[in-house]
Amino acid sequence: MKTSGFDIIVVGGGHAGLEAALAAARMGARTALATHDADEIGRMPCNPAIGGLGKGHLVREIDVLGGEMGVAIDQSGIQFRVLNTKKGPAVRSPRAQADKQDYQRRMSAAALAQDGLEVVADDVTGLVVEEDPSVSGGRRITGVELASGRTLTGARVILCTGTFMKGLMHVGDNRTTGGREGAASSESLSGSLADHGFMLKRLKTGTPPRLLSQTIDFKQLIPQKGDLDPAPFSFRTEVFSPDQIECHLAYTNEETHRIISQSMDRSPLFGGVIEGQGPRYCPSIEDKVVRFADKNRHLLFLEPEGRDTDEIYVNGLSTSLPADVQDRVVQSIPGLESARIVRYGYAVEYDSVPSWQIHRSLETKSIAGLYLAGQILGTSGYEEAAAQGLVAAANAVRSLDGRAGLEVGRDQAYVGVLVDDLVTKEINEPYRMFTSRAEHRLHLRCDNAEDRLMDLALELGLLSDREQKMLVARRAFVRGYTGLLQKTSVFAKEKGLRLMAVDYLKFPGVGLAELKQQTQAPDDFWNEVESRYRALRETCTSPHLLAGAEAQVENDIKYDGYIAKHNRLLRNREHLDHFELPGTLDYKSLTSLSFEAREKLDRIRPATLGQAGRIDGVRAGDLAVLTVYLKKLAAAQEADSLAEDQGRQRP
Amino acid sequence: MELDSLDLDNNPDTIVALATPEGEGGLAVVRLSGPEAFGLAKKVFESRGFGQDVESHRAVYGILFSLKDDEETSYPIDQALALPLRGPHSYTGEDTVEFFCHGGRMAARMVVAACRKVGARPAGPGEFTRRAFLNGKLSLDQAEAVADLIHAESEASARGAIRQLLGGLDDQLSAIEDPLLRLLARIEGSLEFVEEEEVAVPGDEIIAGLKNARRKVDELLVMAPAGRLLREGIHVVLAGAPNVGKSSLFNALLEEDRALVDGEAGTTRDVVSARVNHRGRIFLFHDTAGLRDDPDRVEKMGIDRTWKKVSEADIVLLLADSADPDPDAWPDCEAPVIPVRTKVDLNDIHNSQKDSNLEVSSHTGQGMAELWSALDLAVEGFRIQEAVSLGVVLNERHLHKLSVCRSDLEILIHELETGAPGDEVTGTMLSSILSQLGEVSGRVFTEHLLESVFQRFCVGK
Repeated sequence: MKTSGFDIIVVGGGHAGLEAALAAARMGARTALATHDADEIGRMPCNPAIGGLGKGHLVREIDVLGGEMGVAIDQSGIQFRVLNTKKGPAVRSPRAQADKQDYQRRMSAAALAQDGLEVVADDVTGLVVEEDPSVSGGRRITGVELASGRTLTGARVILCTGTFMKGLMHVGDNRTTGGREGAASSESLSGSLADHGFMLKRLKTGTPPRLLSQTIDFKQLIPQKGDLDPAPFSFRTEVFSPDQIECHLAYTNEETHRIISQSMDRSPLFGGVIEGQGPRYCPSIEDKVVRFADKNRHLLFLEPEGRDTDEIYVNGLSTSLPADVQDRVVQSIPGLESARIVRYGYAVEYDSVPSWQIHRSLETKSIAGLYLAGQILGTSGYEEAAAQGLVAAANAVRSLDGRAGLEVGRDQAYVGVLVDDLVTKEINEPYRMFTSRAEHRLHLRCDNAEDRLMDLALELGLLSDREQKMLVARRAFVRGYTGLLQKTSVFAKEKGLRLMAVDYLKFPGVGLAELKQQTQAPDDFWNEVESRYRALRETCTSPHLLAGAEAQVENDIKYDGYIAKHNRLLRNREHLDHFELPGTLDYKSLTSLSFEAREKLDRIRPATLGQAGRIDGVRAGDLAVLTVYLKKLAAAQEADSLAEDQGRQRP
Repeated sequence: MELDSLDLDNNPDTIVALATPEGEGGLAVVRLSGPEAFGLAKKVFESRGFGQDVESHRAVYGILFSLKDDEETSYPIDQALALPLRGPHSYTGEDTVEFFCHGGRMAARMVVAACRKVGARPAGPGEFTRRAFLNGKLSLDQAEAVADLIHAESEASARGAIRQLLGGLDDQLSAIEDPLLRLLARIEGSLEFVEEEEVAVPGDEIIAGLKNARRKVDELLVMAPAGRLLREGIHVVLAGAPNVGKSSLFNALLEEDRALVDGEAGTTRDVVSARVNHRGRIFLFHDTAGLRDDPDRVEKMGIDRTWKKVSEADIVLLLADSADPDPDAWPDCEAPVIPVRTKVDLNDIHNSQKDSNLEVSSHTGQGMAELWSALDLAVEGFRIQEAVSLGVVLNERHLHKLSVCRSDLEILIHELETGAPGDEVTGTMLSSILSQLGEVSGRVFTEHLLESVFQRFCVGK
């Protein structure tokens, strides 16, 4: 039995799948979202939080592009904090605790209410693939098989299966199959991928125990409040006054570490039971005790999972130790002496598809029309997943009528860094975004996300008319204001200096407020500034959008010199990014390349010489060989076509 | 070796050249490389072990012959060992035969000539290396070092190039990169793992780390001229008023080592250059047009060329007639200037007029030994020995990248000392400096960075 065809089938209702399905439907594609449980859409299986360093940047970008995540967390957040406020604006990033039930309800509702999106509550067990000699790879996806025996047909399929493929959960030596607590794993889909020739790789991630809040003595813990003047993630959130609640800090101690050390033989992680590679940046507590043996305490964050729930998430205590050890570990911590664990921490191993098997569009190289997004590609985090879901859907929908994929550069957005890293780097552990990954970090800020991604957002068309106008007005405000600052000279009273307004703003600790209070500027300057404000307010009354635009004006000026300098350095390598490498290049035959370079280039098949250079193990010498070879090839082809021309001219 | 200099050869022919540096050594190696190497070798080399089947990597003893002009008969030229190497297991990656000639340089030249007679083409400079590189036998920095080795005309230069092959420069770069990477890891760690603890790196510690790196880059850059001096030789310009005896001294300097003079006409009418190998070092002497205050037009053109030569000189010999009571003072010039008083055999010098210890007579050879000592002393300042012993013979590409790193370090130190760029700025700038260094050393730093960060920090929110 067949259901008549969809344009796009999204498999999985996690953070990647949800953004993919919503974006596809909003772009006008007939979309199906296949998930084993419709109530589970947008669930937060791990940390009840959105954002964080690097991740907050991604959420801001997803929001400008028209994704759902920013709006959902603004509405369901219970504590909002900007991290890294002691550091410069480029590395500040918003983070919010979510009421995870509320978040999930809103996400489910958004999916169910979306026009053109049909939620199919069924397990996907396999792929339907046909021979198609007209596409590279020779095969094309035409649909998916469901557990119920039905087949969903669709022109494009986006797999967002998270940790579900052959998911295996560990609590001590107790192992259960499942993608996460209380959810069945998907066994046959990963077999289907393997049957179709995909290489799979085991990865591991973990989650900490949840405590019953009534059993915690909060008086012994250090409270951590949200920001006094919280800012929303989404530029679309115009009214924002969340009722915030507290988190708490606690510390492990030497007794905790002793308990863990003595139980190490019962840890599946250290007993060799777990094969999958876990993330080094987010180690389990047993990892921390071993790796950072000189530290006598580790910080824990006790984060409520919602407004009306009794569950407290113990951030920093991820573990797969047996249940009785987890009890003792928790109770060794002051304030948690009588705390009760309602859900034990566990490690989960799952199959991923190493990302060298996809194109930059997130379409697989071997099966046309099949896209992958999220944890299946070896990333970790809701934000990283959501970004990929959005990109995959945009590219899949655009490909339906032959349009080119969305090009997001590394110098444009963290989304671009993420995608380029996925198709370039060997991902050996779950990939998390860091600001260190972005060489254009000083430009890729939260305060200018609207400006950076506006053109792409308008091209994508996921925003409403009004939202698009807000972006356009915001940019006009920023450019206009900056222009005024560049041409106006002011007298800085305290410094006794006459200088251009932009130069005044380059002093540390000086912003637009100080410009107004501590300098004398011509009256018509402030009049013109005021008219800029009026123009912006005509389109948008959100004080947050205004504050963000002002921050961008200040930070653009503060970072200007550094960005220009940094760009000059990077420009040396820019020409390499314009040097395209033919997709058909037979790297294995190029014995001049080092063995490692040959293997990796053959696998990853970079689009440009620049990308080739970013592959670990490809050295300057290999790039030289490639350049030489391609020049050679071009010369030979030219000679051939010349000979052909001459041949044709002969009677 | 820059990419652009790698020209492309679609159908490689068989090339031959002396593979060991020209010199007085007892053993010379002639290398024959290319698709016809084995076939051509059979035409010039007779041995029982070198018949129908050639066994790779097994040296055989035999006689080398050269075709007579009648192209029919041949005559023996040397007894030699031939080592056939079947590609890709050879230096160039092609079929190669190496002849080890006992008869030294002259015999080796005859072997090269013999190979040419049977159809091999003389290899261009660096051509073996280029083929080796194109055939994947060398990394870029190795290829660069070998290219330098090929151009190395003197022993000291050859030693520097060999050490670079063994990783001398790499060691020096690691000594700069590794501490910077550790510093960057701490800065980045403090940016990415804020919640755990306050781990900000103190500003003066960052500055100290950067200054340390700058010092090490400086140490490399100080030796930069050494690399060029080793490859090209030391340019010594003879300058002075007309008729002070520049040309006579020029000839006298060449007299010293007539056997190795490779005199070549200057590119201009007025500057004549010659190359001298003096105790293992290459000197390039340039005899220039005389300088005087009021030249006519034609002369002026020559003088302009003289000034140009002087501005490019490594050492300037400023000549003045020892009889001249008031020789011209020399204007500022970057290169060390050695004042020389000429024609001492013709003049009766009064002590009061002495402004230079160097008094020479090109005619009698008086003072020539002292002049050479003065030249050697000036050369000491170029720290050639140090560069050679550290194995850091830098080429133009290295030099350029290192200079850029130097100035970026300088700017960043200045920023940190005068203003307060945030750690995110410091980290970004430092990472681009490390990328630049990586372009010299070939290291990819991002993954190393994260590795380094993860070793030190444990929680990320």
